[in-house]
Order: sequence, then structure tokens, then C-alpha cells
Amino acid sequence: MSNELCKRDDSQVATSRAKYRTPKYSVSNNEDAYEVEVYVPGVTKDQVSVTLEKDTLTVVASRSSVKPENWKLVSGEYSSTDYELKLNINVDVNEDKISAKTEDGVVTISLPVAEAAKARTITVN
Amino acid sequence: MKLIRYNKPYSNPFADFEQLFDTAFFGNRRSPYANFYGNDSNRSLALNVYRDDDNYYVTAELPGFKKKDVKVELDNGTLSVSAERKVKKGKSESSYNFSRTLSVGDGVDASKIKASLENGELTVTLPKAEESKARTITVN
Repeated sequence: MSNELCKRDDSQVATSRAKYRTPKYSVSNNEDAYEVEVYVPGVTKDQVSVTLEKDTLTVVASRSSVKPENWKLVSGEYSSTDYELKLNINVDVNEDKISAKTEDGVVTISLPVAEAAKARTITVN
Repeated sequence: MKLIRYNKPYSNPFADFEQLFDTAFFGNRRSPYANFYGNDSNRSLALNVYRDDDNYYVTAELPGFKKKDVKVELDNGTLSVSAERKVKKGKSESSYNFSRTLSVGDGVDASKIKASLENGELTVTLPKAEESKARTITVN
């Protein structure tokens, strides 16, 4: 019986995973901030949510337009599902100053590094 | 209309190997390693093709691209989509290139092709030529 239960759990996990697709992303940084670019083609501004909880940055984006019902798929090479990306952040971020914008299917998130975590130059006397 | 995947010869010397690898591990599914931001060189573009009664629709994902970065051409029954953009970030500059060719054959009204780019997703609408549309023939 326990086996059966396990199986069911697996299938549930599989279906819930299939709902999302992990988008491509790139991270760049300078002294003051980390910039995360998440590529979510087909998504408009109001369909994106960015949350930071503890050390996890979560980006969820849902497709703005679903293909019309009478469009029949002839050949499909990418899936038009929603996106979800979770990133772990191991640097202190100034949470109040996080900003995000969406343009042309790219979400750009700026994560300013907290003052305390910045590199400091110490002058030698 | 026939849609045939067109492999550009010599564009990627490892294409055959990659394909072998992909088929071996991922069957007919697209490999997760065939990601489009994998490197800066010219990448193939993943396309979805749809149809309804009047049109064929070819869609592609081009996040971050502006209309001026994208070129769509139909020549001799071959549809080619290419996109190029350069990104400057501080001192570094990177460029992204994608192109893909698709054989669409006859049956498309070349003069009425439309393309739109919205939220980083390209949609090319290819109207079916009148003579290739499905027809209902009344039996007398």
C-alpha cells in the first residue's frame, strides 16, 4: 500500500512540474548591484511576479496570450507554458531598493548589494 | 504545404553529433541543452508551426529583440527568419544571432505574409494560397 501511495505522489509531482518551464537567465554584477535578466518571451508586464523570501528570489511569469483554439499545432519545438525560476542569493541585498522591469519578453531585476556587504578599500596609513 | 526542417550544411560542424546525442538521450523531444542562449555564436531558432483554415503560423521566441533586429524573408518557397542583436553592458559587449530556414513550398500566398513581434515572441502569418485551401465539393 505504501508503494501505491509513493507512486501517486510521484505522478503528482510530475504534473505540477510540467506546468512550469524554467526560463533562461543571465546574471551580471558590478560593485553596487546584481542584475538578473530572465528571458520570458510571450509575457507582458503585468503577468510577472518577483518575490524575495529569505534568500530565494522567485520569478513567476505567465503567458499573456494563449494561442487561439482553432490553431492546430503542426510542429512544436518549444512549449508555451508559464515560467518559474528560483534563484538562491548568497549576498546581502538591500530589499527596499530591488527594482524590476519587463520589456520585450525580458524581465530585468536589479538587486542592490547592501552597504554592509560591499567590498571596502582600506587605506594603509 | 510541406514543412521540412532544413539543415544548413557546414553551419555547425558538431550538428550531427549533437543531433545524435539529442536523439539518444531525449528521443524526439528537444534537448534541454539545445538552449538558445547557450553561447554567442549563431544558433538555430526553435519554431512552432500552427495552422488554421486560412493561414499557417510560424512562431519563435526572441526575448529582448526589437522589430528592427528581426528579418523575415520568403524566397523560392523557403522561409528564413534571422535575428541579431548586440548588448552593451559596461565594458563588455555580446551579440546574439539566431537564424532558421524552413521550407514551406508552394501553397502560400507570398504577397500577404505578415510578421509581428510582441513581448519577445515572433509570429509570422502565412496565408494559404487560394488553390491549396480545402474545398467542399457539392455532389450533384
